[in-house]
Amino acid sequence: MAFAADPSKPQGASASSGLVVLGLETSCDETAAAVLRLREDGSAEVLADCVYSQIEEHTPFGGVVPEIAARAHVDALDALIRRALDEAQMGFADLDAVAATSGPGLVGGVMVGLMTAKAISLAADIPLIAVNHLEGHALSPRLTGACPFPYLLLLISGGHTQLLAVDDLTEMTRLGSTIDDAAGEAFDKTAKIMQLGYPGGPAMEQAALSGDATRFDLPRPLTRSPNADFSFAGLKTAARRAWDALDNPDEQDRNDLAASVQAAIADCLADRSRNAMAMFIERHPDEAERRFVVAGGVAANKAVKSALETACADFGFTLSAPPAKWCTDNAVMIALAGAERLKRGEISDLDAPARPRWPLDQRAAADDPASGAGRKGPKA
Amino acid sequence: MEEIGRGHAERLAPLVRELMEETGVTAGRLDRIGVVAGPGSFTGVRVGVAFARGLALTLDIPAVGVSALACAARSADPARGKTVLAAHDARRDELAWQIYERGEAKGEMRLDPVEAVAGQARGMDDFILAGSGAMKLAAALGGGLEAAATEPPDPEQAARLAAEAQDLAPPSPIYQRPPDAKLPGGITPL
Repeated sequence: MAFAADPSKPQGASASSGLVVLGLETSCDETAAAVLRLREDGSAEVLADCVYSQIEEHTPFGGVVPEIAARAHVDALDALIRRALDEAQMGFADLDAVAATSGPGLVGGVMVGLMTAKAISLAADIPLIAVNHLEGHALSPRLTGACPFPYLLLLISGGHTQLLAVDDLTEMTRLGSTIDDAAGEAFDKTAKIMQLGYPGGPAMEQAALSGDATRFDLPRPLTRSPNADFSFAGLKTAARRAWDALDNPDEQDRNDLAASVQAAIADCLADRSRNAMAMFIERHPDEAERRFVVAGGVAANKAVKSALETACADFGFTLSAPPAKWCTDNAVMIALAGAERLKRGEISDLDAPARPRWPLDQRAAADDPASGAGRKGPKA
Repeated sequence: MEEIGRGHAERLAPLVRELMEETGVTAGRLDRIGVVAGPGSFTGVRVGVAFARGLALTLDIPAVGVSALACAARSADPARGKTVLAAHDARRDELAWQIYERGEAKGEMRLDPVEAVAGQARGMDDFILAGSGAMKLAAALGGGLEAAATEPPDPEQAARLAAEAQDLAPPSPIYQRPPDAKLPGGITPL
């Protein structure tokens, strides 16, 4: 398929070399398709980045409804892929591979993206790469520039809260994770208690701006423990008790509680990160540049970021975060993970399963299933 | 055709590749994709529809959604000369059902309790019962009725119906009921 050259895009052999991968993401409430080129020097060029957010469809329910999400994905995905290819000025014949999130996540949605990717792989005769969603997040700092391995990653979203030592593409060690709710979930659920609407994170941050963070004495779960695990369930319960104890709570009460909850979450995240930083330094004693990367939707919260900045300064780490659009769920990071895998010749078969549970660090998850462990094994 | 129960997401793509290798029909030679779009298991239906839409998008050909009830009706009455009541067992003692007269669908698919469908059926003249819910309906009607095409939809009939289709809009799953989600306060969404 031939297109007129776009003068705004770099031309010549260097522009067209490397690996071009279509990425698909459908594991939660964002339907996303992206086209990315992984250049030979390891840098990434984003050729298209399309996202359809279903947030309006879930808002009335105060959370993501899996069946509603799956229905929306199947109706939106193919047109979104068309748009991404058009933006990239490419056809299927220009792709080197197709990558799709195949877990962990809401399996109904994951299947939509995975089946679409399998169809493209079969019809266009290009390799399929089944990507771990968490690996996408873990690699996302590498989208915008050099972020060499190893680095310490804090992933904080509505579905995941983990500290990972990212030593290499295939060597990620979980240093800690939540034993109950995710950090984003803690924001959403406490916001719901205070009737702040959904999604709760941004509303809570806004309310907290005019609140007194010292008014409510809320717990900082696990902050005395020597590991790097998280817990937010007790904080949520304490926030509910504090709210219920208020007689006709007014705007100021709400703002004060929002500020208190936000401060507690930020403290927990920073405290646990400090322990992980110490562990990271022990793993890599000779590493001159210590990099701490924060990714996931909660990374956008300024109070959280400021608490992490202090921790980084104390331990000699530099803090960085991918741009906000690539902190939340997106297909660009899936395309990058796919391209990195393709570069190493790691491709998937057409019978690749959707995996609702898929820990990045299989060993840690098996030995110490802190995160969502159940009858079916560790979740992430 | 394979009986796989769960596991469509794993088996479907390799099965299609094997089919193309066995028949020598390469993807590029296809003119149209047909897919059974439901009613059925929500997830199973979406696996098929997402795959079909992905093929159609890549090959730049239409994909057509075919009702599982239409497949059952065609299997039960291939000559298209009779009246068929096709019913899908939607669980919870309900049937998703539709009437076909001489191969043409009458009205929209409906979801009703088995007893209610039986009540409607008692008022009908000579007809054939078909579909995965046919046995349940036959039992509710007091027995003595034969049920046809009670197996899962026959892909050959699906291909035939897709080839005949006039409406070439991208297939959307045919859901027999809305998502099970309650609004805060226990209000069921409209």
